[in-house]
Amino acid sequence: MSTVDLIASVALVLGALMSLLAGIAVLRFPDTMSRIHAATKPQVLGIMLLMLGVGLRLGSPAVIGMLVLIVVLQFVTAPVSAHLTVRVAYRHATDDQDVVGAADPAGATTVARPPGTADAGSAGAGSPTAGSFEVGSVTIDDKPAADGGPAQMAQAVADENARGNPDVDPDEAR
Amino acid sequence: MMLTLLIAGLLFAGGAACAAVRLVRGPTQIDRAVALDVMLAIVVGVIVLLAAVSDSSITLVIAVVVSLLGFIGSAGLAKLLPRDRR
Repeated sequence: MSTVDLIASVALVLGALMSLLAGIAVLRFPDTMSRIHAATKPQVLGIMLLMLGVGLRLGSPAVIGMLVLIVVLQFVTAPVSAHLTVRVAYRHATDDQDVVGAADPAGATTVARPPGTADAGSAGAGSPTAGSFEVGSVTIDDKPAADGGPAQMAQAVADENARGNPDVDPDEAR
Repeated sequence: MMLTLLIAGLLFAGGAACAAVRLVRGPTQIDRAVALDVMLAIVVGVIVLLAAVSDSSITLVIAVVVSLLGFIGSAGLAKLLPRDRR
């Protein structure tokens, strides 16, 4: 076994070890955010180590091009998919602290949900959408001095957030 | 290289088993989606490992496709998960 093969073997085993660590972390971590955090590790570092191992084993340029393609695709898509998953998890957060755990002691419900619908979990998509639109329009009508300066704008935005603005997001309307 | 195949295969199997336990047990659907993501990354790793051990580059195309399917799958799940389903 030559030196290149030895390095390739070490890289392959390290990449497999990243997968094992991610599996253990997904199994053992206490809340969803931690699990998502750990699950992204083999998708980037593990894949990178494995590709290094394969590239050292099969050295032809076509193979290396395909390996670089896989690594670049993983680099682009892994953060995006993790972000989408975390966003959905944060919005699904109920008040049992099961999702965000101790990282957000204030609770996700006070941030991500309007106060009126905090207990109506199964209200469906219709009523939160209507509520958010109504709150938004009232807020805009409420501040006649909003164009007095950026400080007042910031204050108005802070007031809106303090009232529990229900995450005015067009995605809520789906 | 057979020793590498054995060690790395055992590590992959351990990771996939842990992710499968989380897949069955996971309290929310998002946990199950994350476990499936990990298992898909492990599938890509196994395909790549077999390509390295058997000195053939044919299966690397499958790795490209599977890594893209992982992104499409988790993005689609994030879009389509029903609200408040435990």
